[in-house]
Amino acid sequence: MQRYPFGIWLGIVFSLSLALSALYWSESRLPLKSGASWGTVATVNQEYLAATARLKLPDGYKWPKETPYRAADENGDSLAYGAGCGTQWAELYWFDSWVSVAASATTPVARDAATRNLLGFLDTTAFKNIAEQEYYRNMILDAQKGELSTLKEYAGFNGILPNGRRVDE
Amino acid sequence: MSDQMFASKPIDDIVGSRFLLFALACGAFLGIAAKLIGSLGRSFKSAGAPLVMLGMGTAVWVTVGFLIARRSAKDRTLLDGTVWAGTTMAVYLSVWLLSYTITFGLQQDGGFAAAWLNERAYFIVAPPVSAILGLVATLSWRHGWLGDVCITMPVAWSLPEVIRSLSMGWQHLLVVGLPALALASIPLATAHRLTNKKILLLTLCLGGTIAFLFLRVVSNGKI
Repeated sequence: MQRYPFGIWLGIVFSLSLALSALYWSESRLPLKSGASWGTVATVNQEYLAATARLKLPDGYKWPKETPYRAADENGDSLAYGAGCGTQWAELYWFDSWVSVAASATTPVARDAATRNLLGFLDTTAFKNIAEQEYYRNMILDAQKGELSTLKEYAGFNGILPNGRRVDE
Repeated sequence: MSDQMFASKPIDDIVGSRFLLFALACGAFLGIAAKLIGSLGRSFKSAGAPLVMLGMGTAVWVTVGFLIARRSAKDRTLLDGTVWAGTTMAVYLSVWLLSYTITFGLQQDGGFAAAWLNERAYFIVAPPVSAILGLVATLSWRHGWLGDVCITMPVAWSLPEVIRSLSMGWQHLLVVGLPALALASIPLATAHRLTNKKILLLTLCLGGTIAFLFLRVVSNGKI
């Protein structure tokens, strides 16, 4: 086999090192700068992964592998997302899952356990940024008292099935 | 002593190394230039859309690297040419991506980490793509149908961006489509050989479709 000069080996090692670094330093391993106001889909997915680690879904539910946000639009142009986008998506997914469980619970014990989890939503970033705070607060507090009509109505539109699909899909 | 050392080094290696260094310099400069062109376009709002498209484009920047890599493969055997052209392409693409990402990181709030995560799919595909393009570059010097396919490939991978710019108006065509097409046509135009029209058409259709699908996957970070 022919001997190649040092520059060739250096070039190959350099290029492969970058590729391997890119494989290793993915969303789950790279800390992002805090306080950023705009980020990429990578930022969104990293926030999402961090949020899924602290939120517990109902039994039988699983987190989607990633958010539905995309890196680029149909034309291939990069898309930018506001900070907190991934966190809020995870929090809403978590909330909607517990709403579904509470709305479909067949025993008072299961229903009370599910509605207690909904209280946690009032401390989330998603709730702080939601336009209809009063609607959500009343729905959650009513559910604690056993009044589930708003919650069931909400679950009919926004509920999530254990397989991750929305009820209206 | 120094004469002996110089004499023991093949002339091919010296020429090849110069192309390698040239690719490195071009990659560093054009990576920054691409990001700044895109940013300049954004500052002009809708009037700067063609510049944004050029900065974020792929075909023009890849073709520049291919043209350098192709020159380094001239008069070499298949293996030798592929190694030299593939490495030249890999160095160009990797340095281009690195300087683009660093510039991107300096410009945006998220810093280098967010820019890196946005571009990481491209870093991953750069070495295998470079190896393939190195082979294409070497074969493009050969006569016969395989040479014809390879010499038409730059036009084929530029086609999706040319068609897209065509559909977006004359400004896009002038800034993105025509420069991409002109650069990609250099190997064909300077080859001084008749290319089989059927092969040319087939390569454009197949190569264009593959380039379009491949970029769709990579740009969405699905790696």
